Amino acid sequence: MGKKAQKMKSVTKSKTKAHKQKVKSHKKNKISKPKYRTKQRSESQDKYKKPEAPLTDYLAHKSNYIAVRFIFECGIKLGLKHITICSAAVYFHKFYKHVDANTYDNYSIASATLYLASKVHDETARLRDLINVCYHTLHRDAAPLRLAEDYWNFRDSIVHAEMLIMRILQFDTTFDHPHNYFLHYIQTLRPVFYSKHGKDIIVFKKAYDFLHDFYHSSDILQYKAQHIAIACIELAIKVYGIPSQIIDYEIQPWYQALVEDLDKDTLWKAMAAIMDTYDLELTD
Amino acid sequence: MTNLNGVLTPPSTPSPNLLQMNMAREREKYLEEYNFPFCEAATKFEKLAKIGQGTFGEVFKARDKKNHKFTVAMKKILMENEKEGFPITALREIRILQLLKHDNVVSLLEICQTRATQFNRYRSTFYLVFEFCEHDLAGLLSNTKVKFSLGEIKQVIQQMLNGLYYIHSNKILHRDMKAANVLITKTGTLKLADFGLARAFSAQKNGQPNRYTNRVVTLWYRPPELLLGDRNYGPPVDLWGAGCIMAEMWTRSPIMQGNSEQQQLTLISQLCGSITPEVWPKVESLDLYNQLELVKGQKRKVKERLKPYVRDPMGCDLLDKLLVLDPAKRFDADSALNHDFFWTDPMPCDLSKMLSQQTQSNFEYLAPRRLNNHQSSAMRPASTVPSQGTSTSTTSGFHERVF
Repeated sequence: MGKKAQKMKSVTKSKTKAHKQKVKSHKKNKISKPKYRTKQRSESQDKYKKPEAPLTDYLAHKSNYIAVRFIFECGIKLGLKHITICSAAVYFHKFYKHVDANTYDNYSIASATLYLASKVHDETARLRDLINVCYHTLHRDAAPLRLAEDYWNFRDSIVHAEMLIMRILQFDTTFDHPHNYFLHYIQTLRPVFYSKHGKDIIVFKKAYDFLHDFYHSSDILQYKAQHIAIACIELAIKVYGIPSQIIDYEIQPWYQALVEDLDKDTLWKAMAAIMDTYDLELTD
Repeated sequence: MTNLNGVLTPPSTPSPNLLQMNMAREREKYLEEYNFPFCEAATKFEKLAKIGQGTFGEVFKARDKKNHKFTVAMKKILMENEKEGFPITALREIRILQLLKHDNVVSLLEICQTRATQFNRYRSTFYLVFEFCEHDLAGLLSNTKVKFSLGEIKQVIQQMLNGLYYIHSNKILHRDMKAANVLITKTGTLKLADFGLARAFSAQKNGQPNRYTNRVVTLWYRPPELLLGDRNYGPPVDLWGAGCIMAEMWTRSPIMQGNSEQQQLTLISQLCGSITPEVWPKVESLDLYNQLELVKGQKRKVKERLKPYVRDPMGCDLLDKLLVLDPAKRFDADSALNHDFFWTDPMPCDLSKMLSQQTQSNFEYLAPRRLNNHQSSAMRPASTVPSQGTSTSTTSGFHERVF
């Protein structure tokens, strides 16, 4: 199989010379990039309105992190529910858990997981919409895709990839998302962390952001849904340092009232995993 | 799968034809030889007989080639619209079956596939592999040699309601309740099968009524709210079917065999009384209420007409509670299970003894006599239906046709 993959690659290589140059030129620019990003982030914390993130040039990167960002971007453009997009990300991670990272094209698999997730969650995206959105997210300045050979090839490849994903997933498209637990915990916690100035809302919103960002990491598959939900909330509480008179961590941490089987070690590991997600962004 | 690279390739760089042909050939060879790590080949099973056929596809009895005692039922996934990828109906069915694990629900063992070859245009066929059940209820009922005692009937109905209670509490609607979809193993365990039309349901979201399709459930078992075009329905649709099946345990053939939606509604009115806002307050809001012709002035005679067959007052009473026009007033699975019918003598009793006399499988598909019978009785106009058969029925236990 490996030999085969190499051969396939060599075929496509000749085609993508122009594309490769693009990659190179991008790498040169990269040195200045982190600076820009860190600056932007410190701003976003103070200001109410976030500045717009720069558009990602997906073809310049090849990592699972970037591919999940691609899933999120396309999913939002298609107007899919959060939970659908999250499922797509999970399918993507599950797929690459079993498959050699270089055998299949990241973005074809990403598009197909999105299509599959939209079917699973009963809000089927039209395949043509999906192709157009994915294509123009990859090639931002390209002319509208005509109903010609390329279109039919994309369509074929997404359908094939979907079949392949189904088989690699062993037809198991169920996943216990942390969202349900998260909502339940937040509702229970709100009175405990109540703050007059609405700080609790900011904290919980941040926790929700952590949860969604965590889908960029394959570690999402490693932890129980309940534990992830708790870890996100705890991390947000730690980041913002909101005090609560009712809770004394020395006597009993708050989360033990909600989940029985979560010890401190697991929680810290999960929180570390969430934080590690943000390092993935820089290592592509 | 070279073509997976499709999205990455920059647009409009036509490659020489020769290269493309080579690629295509390579791809075909690759597909033929590819071994999917988690999806076993269907060739590990040996087909023994076809046991079902319908809109959903074909069902086969098969056995494991390595272990001949291990028999399974294989259901082919129809890929009618392969351009849209994996069929959404199959996806639903698989998800629902993976979710449901209960004694009274058929269990999905695995999914296997055929190898991609040039003969199937490199598209594999998938099979759902189920545990094998020896009989289906429609097959058993059409076999006059099979006789159910009252205790055995109670056992069948109780298991069916248990299964329904379980799937409803898991927020799943079956949407195709009929005798042929109720399987019974040789040890007497009942299993609900064929979740091809099933779906998850929820209470109304943000005050918006649900908009499910109402083109579900086999006509003879279809409840009045679906016939009137309701799209915001729920578990009661399955309980109507359960009521029809329960009556069938005594009558031995489906109780209302209409050949059109209109006629089915007429048959329902003749049994359960006219459909009016008095007995069913919200009926006026249903789409087809004003468009379809509804029989007026019919009295409800469920007990009266079923008594000659059922001859058990408790059984009649439960049927009367299940075959209720207004879905809001129809019994749910829980209250049906608490009905005195199951808690009075004769109590539900083991089926295995009675079934041990059956050396052959009883499937509706393999019982052509019953099929013909269906057709002939379904063709009869509705007006000839009432109460002719009922006068003779008290004396003998079983009937070929009723109503």
